[in-house]
Amino acid sequence: MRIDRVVVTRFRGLHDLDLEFGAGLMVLEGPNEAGKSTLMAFIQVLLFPTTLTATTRVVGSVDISVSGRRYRISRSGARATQRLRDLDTGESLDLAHLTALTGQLDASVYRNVFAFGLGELQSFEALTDAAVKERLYSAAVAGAGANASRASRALDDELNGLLKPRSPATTLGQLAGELTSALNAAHAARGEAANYSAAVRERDRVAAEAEQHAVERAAAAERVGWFAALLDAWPNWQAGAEAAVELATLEAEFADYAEGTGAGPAPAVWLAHAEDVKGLDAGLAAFEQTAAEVETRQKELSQHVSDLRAGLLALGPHWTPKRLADFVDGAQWRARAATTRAAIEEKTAAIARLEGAKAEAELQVGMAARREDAARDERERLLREPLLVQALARILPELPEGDAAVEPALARLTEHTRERKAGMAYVTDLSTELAEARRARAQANEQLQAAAVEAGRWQRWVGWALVLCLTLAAGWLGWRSDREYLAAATVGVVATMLLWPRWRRAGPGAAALRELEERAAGLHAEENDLTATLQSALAGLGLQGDARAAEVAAASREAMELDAALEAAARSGRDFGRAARETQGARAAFAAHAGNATKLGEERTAILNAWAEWCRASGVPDNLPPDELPAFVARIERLQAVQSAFRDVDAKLRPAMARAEDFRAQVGTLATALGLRFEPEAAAGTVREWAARARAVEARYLELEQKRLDLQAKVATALRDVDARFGTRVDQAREALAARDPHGWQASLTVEEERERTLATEARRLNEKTGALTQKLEEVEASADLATQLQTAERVAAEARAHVRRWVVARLAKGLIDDTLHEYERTKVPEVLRRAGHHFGTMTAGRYVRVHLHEGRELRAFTPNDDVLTAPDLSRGTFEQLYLAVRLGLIESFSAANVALPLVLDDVLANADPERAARLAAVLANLAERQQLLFLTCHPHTAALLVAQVPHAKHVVLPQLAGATLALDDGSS
Amino acid sequence: MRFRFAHLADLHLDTPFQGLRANRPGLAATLRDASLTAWDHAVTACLAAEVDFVVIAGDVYDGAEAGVRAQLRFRDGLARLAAAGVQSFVVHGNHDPLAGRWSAISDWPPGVTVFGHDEVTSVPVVKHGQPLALVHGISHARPEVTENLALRFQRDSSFVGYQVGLLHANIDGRGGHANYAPATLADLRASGMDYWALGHVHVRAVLSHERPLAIYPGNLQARHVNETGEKGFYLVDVEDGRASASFVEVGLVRFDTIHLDIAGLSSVAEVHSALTTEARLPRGTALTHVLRATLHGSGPTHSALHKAGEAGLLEYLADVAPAGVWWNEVRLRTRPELDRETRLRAGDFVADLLTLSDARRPNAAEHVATLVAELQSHPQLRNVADHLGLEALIDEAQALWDEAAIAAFDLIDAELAEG
Repeated sequence: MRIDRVVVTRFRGLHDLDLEFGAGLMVLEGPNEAGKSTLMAFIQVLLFPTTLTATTRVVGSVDISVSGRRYRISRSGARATQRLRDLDTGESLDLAHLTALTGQLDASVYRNVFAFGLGELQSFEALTDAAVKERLYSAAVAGAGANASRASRALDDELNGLLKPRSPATTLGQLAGELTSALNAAHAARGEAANYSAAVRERDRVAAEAEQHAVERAAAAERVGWFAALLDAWPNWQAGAEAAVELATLEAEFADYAEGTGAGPAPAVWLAHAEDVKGLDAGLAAFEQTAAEVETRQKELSQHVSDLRAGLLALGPHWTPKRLADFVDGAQWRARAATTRAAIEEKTAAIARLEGAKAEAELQVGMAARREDAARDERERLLREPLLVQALARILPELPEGDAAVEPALARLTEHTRERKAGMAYVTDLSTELAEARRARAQANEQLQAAAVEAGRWQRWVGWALVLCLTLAAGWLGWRSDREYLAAATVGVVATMLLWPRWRRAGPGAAALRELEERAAGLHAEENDLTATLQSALAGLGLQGDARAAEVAAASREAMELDAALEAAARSGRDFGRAARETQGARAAFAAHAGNATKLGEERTAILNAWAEWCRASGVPDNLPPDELPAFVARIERLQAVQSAFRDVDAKLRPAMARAEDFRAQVGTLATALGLRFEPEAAAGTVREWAARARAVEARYLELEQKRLDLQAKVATALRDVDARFGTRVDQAREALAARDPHGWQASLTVEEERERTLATEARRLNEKTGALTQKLEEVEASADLATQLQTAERVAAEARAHVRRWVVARLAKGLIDDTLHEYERTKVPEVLRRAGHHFGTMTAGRYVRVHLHEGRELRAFTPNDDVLTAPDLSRGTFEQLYLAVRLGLIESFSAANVALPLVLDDVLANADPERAARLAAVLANLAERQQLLFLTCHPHTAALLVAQVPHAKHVVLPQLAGATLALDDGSS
Repeated sequence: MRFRFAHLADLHLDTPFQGLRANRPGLAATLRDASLTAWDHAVTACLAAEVDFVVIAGDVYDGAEAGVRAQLRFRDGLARLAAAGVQSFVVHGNHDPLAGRWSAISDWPPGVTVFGHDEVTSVPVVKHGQPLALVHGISHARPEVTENLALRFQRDSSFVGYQVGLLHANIDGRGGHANYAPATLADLRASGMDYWALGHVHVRAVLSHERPLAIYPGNLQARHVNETGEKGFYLVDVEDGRASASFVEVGLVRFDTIHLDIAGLSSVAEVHSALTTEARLPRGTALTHVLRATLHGSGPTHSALHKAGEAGLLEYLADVAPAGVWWNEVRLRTRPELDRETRLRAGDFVADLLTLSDARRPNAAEHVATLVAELQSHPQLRNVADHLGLEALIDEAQALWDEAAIAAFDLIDAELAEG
């Protein structure tokens, strides 16, 4: 297949490029970024449309020739389909045809085989010997990329990682180990689980054994209890038995005692009557007391009798016991005596008082007489006063003589004086009033004047105003001449004067003015009245009408003096009168007193007589003064008390005597019952004696009874104790106790205790064991170990299976690769190397003539003399040459076997020196004869070299293109 | 007359999960207890639904693996049922046959009937003095029972009422299960039972809708990565002799496999996204989901995916997994975007490789067998060879061969691409 023409309308950075290609070598020269690679990419995209991505915009066409036929592959736009057209027939063809035209090659194969870039030669320095070998080898193996052997080695590594014969550190080795552990653990867990039933049985067996031991131990404990109880009960039991024996003895003793010894009543008898005896004994104290009481009372009684007798005698003959007993008037007598005494005393006192008054009265008489005399003297003196005499003389024709006439005269005078005084006062008042009225009138006049002035003033103003007005009016009215003015004014003035009074009256203050005038007039009238009245009053007094105040005052003074003298005279008169009366009174009093005293004396005497009479009648000694009567009565009463005391004692004495008798009778009865003698007098002592005896007997009985009770109690205790200790087995216990074998019991107890201890220890041990086994069972029951281990094992197994599978796949894959490689080497590589050798020879100018694949995939070159060149010996340049040679050999061989597509070389001569380059160029030229060869370079000298070497080579210089250049499309952009 | 009963089977208590590779401690604990918890939940659900009796159709645990914990847990569940007055009927299957197996249970709670293996016995279900139904059952005696036990079941004509047959068996030779106690649907019909409570097949299925209603409830909790979907048991309501069954999900851990065709996906990110979206889809009521992704098909992401590798993809998915979702495995079964025909004709090394691969493919089993033999005799793997599923690899030889070819191609193509 051959490319004839390429039209790039638009592809990445390329625009409007139209290139004609030559059949053989076509040199495309252009600097970097010129778009060489882009061009190659374009071609590739059109030739192998499957490499297109959706976004690549491709517009253009490629013309190709295959087996003499020409075709055009064109495309417009990214999504547009590719079109294939037969240029000869113009027929559009199916794209499947294209695949046929391109030799059914995959784009990648095309790339790997037919595209050969400088990159493949790069970094030689970095290559190890092994890498160099590998590179060379890979050059020979078409379609395997860098190296199929590398793939094989990768698989090897993976396989070794998975599994190696002697190293368990591999994945599967480790997994196998894990799996084994898990399986073992599961097995162990299973085994443990399988033992479960057996373990349960074992646990139950041990538990049963423990149970058995517990039962036996309980039995032993019970027996221990039995013997211990027997031992415990033994003391009491023993005590009980002893007590029973003692009891029997005691009963005999008791009976004996009760019978008595024969002397005196038997104790039984004593006991029978003990209560009675004790009763009597209890009453003994009372009896003795009673007896004593009787004695005492009897003594008292005789005392009272003698007292009574003596007292009555002392009272008097009148007094008998009966009278004494009947006497109830004590209070009355006392009262009478008191009354009498009081009366007498009163009288006596009254008399005494009277005597005193009498004496006093006598004194008074004397004094009163003296006073009377004095008063008389005074009076007479006063009557002789000159003033008084004069005054009297004034009103009376003659001076009174004698006391009888004096008084009325004085009375008259007094009256007269009084009148005068009144008149004086009246005058004074009038004067005062008059003065007042004058003052008022003066005031009113003043006011009037003031008002008049005021009114006048006003009226004057009004007047002048009027004048003025008139004048002005006159003026206005046309009166211009002075004369006329004067006339008018005159008229005005005259008018004013004439009307002055009227104005005065008629003015505003005229009314008031009139009023004031009236008032002033009134006051004046009043004043006159008063003056008249005063005049008359003065006249009445005998004074001149125009008497002045001093005169009036003197008259008044005189009147008062007179009044005083009159007063004094009257007073003295009264005094005298009084004194005279007093004297009279005193004398009368004296006389009264004397009379009373006598009367009272007589009364007293009467009382005394009456008293004496009464005394005689009542049996009181008649010369007994009343104030001594209470004492007498008291004696009576005392005696009465004695009498009643006597009666009391007597009353008490009788029952006491009866009681004592009764007691003695009781004792007597008891004595009979007891069969003893009895002396009533010695009752007390007898009773005591008996009581003592009875008590002694009782005490003895009690003692014996107590003993009996104690012993009985002991016996009962022993029985109860056994009952309590042994409960239902009491009969058995009693039997055992009756055997009386405490030592035997002790021995048995020891044995049983020992047995119990042993059993307890064993039971404990078994219980612990049961507990431990139970715990273990519970652990097993709850244990998820088995499940966990099984799950782990399963998981590891699954993991291992996956890796085993992977191992198998890897082995198969490796086998495929290795075998393919082997086959490839066997069948195809020789041809490649043959051609490679040829090319290498050309390149090395015959130095090396053969290239051979040695073991271990090592390429070696040989000289004609069979000197070998191994990879480590290669220099860079030689390496490149060899590589190139092998590569070309592969291309040739492939093309020959399959299809010859245009070869694309990208500046592979860049590193060669001119001589080498020339030789290489020769090789290329050779190749170009059989195959279209596109050589891309950016070196003009390389281009020139090639063009020189190859006839008919086409040389195209590509201009610099704007836009990015991309590497040869590898389908991954 | 109305009553309700629960039909459970294949509890497989405390047996390990198979096919789980990921070692995650949190997940491990959940998984370890999942079967037991599922049983507890099932009992609770039965009590909540107020069932009148419960039938359990075998494989309660794996006989050889039965730990004490599992057995006691089973007994405790039955005790709970018994305490509520619910009778339980149990038959044993091939995994937990009656004979040759140690039992940690010394006595069963009241109301529990464990059918013997000698003959079919019948036990009535009595509630409040009234007989509700009659349950016939027989257990497997040995791990490999080959007799058709279904033939021994006959309807009891003296009992008027609903009759239930309880049996662990393989009906109509269902594939993927050991063919123990084989029987046919016709055998079931012939027995005259009203209801067949079956066990053994882990995928639930209703074999027959009309009388007799024959159901495999499936196991209570998935225990293999291949056992996907919801797991649980059936509640059967019977009214006047007519039955209707409803499924109750109790499985705590649920497995699902996500198959993804990479054809339409253009980047690894898109693959991630597609898988994580799938992971987030709600799946039943289980609390824990264990997912497996199988990528297949061919697309541009093939080489990138293989470069990341299954481990790399798994790690990524695990990192972004939502709560309750665990990624167990990623299987890359993709093919490169390869025009095989074209490539074969290219005449290069790759073409040679493909040619050789095609040539040898028919003998893949032999190649694999050779490798298996090598593994079996390998000193490090000898002890555990039985657990590595080596025989199964031979069965997969063709698939393995294809994988190998793709792996080889990928490696070389990768090298080519780099060049």
